[in-house]
Amino acid sequence: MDKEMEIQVSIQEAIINLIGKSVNEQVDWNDPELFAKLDIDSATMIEFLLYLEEKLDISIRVEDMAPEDFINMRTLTECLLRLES
Amino acid sequence: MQNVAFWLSESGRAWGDREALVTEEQTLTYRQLEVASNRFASQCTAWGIQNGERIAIYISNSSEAVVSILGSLKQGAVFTCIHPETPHVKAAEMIADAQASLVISSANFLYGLKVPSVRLMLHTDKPLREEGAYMPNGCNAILMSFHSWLSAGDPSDPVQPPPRELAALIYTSGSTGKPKGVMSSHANIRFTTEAINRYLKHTPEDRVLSYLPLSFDYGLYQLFLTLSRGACLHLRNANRFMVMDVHKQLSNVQITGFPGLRTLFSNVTGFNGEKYSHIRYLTNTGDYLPEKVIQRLVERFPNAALFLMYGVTECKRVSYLLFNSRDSHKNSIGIPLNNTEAIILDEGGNECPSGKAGELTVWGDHVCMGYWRDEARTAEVFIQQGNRRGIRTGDLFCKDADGFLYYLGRKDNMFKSKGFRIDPFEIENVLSSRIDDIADIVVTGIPDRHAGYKIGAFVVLKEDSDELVFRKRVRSVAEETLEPWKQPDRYVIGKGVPLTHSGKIDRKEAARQMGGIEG
Repeated sequence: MDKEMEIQVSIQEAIINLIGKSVNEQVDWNDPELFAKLDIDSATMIEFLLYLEEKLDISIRVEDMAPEDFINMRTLTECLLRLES
Repeated sequence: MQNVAFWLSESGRAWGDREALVTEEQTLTYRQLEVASNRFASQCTAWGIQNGERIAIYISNSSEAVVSILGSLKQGAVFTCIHPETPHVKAAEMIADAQASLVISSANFLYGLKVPSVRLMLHTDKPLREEGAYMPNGCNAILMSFHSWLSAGDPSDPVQPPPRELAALIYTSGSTGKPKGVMSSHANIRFTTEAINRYLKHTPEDRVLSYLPLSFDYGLYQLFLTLSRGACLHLRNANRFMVMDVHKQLSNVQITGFPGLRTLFSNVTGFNGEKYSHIRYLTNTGDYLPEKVIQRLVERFPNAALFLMYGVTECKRVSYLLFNSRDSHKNSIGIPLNNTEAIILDEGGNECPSGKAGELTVWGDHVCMGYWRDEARTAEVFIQQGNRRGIRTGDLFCKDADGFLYYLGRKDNMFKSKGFRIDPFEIENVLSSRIDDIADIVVTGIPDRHAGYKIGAFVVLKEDSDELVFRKRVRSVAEETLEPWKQPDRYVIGKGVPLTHSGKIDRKEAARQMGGIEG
């Protein structure tokens, strides 16, 4: 699995495990309002990022992230690829 | 006692053009804040909002909220801040309980508000067509734009209203689910502000970054602590992007003070990142900080003095621990505030010797006036002995030979989640009274590394109830009727509530079955 795919799978798992989206629900991962529609508070956001850190074995510097990175799967994947490089 | 707003104005006059408040939308100098609060007070007079009437502020952390607080005080009115995430139904209950005359909120909320005491509604949205008109829902209140209303006010100093004791109502958890308003006087606020500033030592060079809601006494006092010393308050809102925002604020602005709850500090230190050597102090209250978080804070804020504090809304602050006393008094929450007595009593009402556990009672001028319109509860919790006023905290403590206090637990079943005091009975009562499917329910804290405790609800359903239908319904009822921090994080359905050998509800076992053992 390439890195981009790995990141996308991890984001999906994190959303399903932490935010409670059922796998049976139809989720448009590139919905331009994906993150806006998810009911995430500040604490869940932290758990979400820590989950990704552990799963992808990367070190996330939140200083280098911005709200614009949390639009949908594509924007977050791009951000995580950027942080990793 | 001098009105708090006039006291702040006196000290603020010296700082005229210095920044007093920086919000997400705007920056106000001391002079601009003074003028705006004068306008607010004069408009209250013009619109018949009298000395002593209640003003409800149901908006996010903003300059409008701050101007409303200071303007209310200047008018001699009584303000109450309602957390912006409080469900509309609950906020309306608080407004009705306070018998507020004026409400400041969003137009969306105000359109549906029907509380007989409310005469004037000020919305903080963009201008609406209906401004100045009577509300169509028959509640006889006028809806106007906050900004249009404020701009018509007189900017000059108002005459100081006759002294009144009551300054604010601070709503806190109540076991019945009914709002419980803590009555705070002008004297309480001034005493506490000065006592805390004795150790935080704010100066005009300080900039304090706060994400704490103004509805929470810890958040509200950031305003009084900074304005009374010529410092600047950077007031922001907690949202899902807070962890990123915190780093930007700490990096971009010369913040010197950073108050926070366990969750915030856990979040800030949860990731590797920059060091903030310009921060001179951190404060924490509401819940204990795990050692791991403290160590990370020390690494990330190498020049900051960390103050671990303890308090209850009914007297705001009780004690503080200087960081350098941590080693000699491990696990202590410090010594009492200046002019505060902290006395530990046994069940017979006698003072406990050092090392012996009992209930903490607190005595001093910060002990509030009681609970709003609840004399029975006031008599139960507050103690008046001549001129001395005290409060039974319900917290079990002991004291060492040096007078340092140690928290041991609650006398009741309350616990802290995300820094908020949670009364499990309130949640049990609210849910069981609204959902017929519930045969029995036990709410308890489940240990969590970020929140301190998460909220778990162990539910026994009536026969023939559908679990899936129940799960959907219970989440929807919780969202409609409970503030976000009181909504259970986990629901576990069981066949019977766990009981102890003596037949009492076994909350520890319930917590264990929900995924953790209560510590």
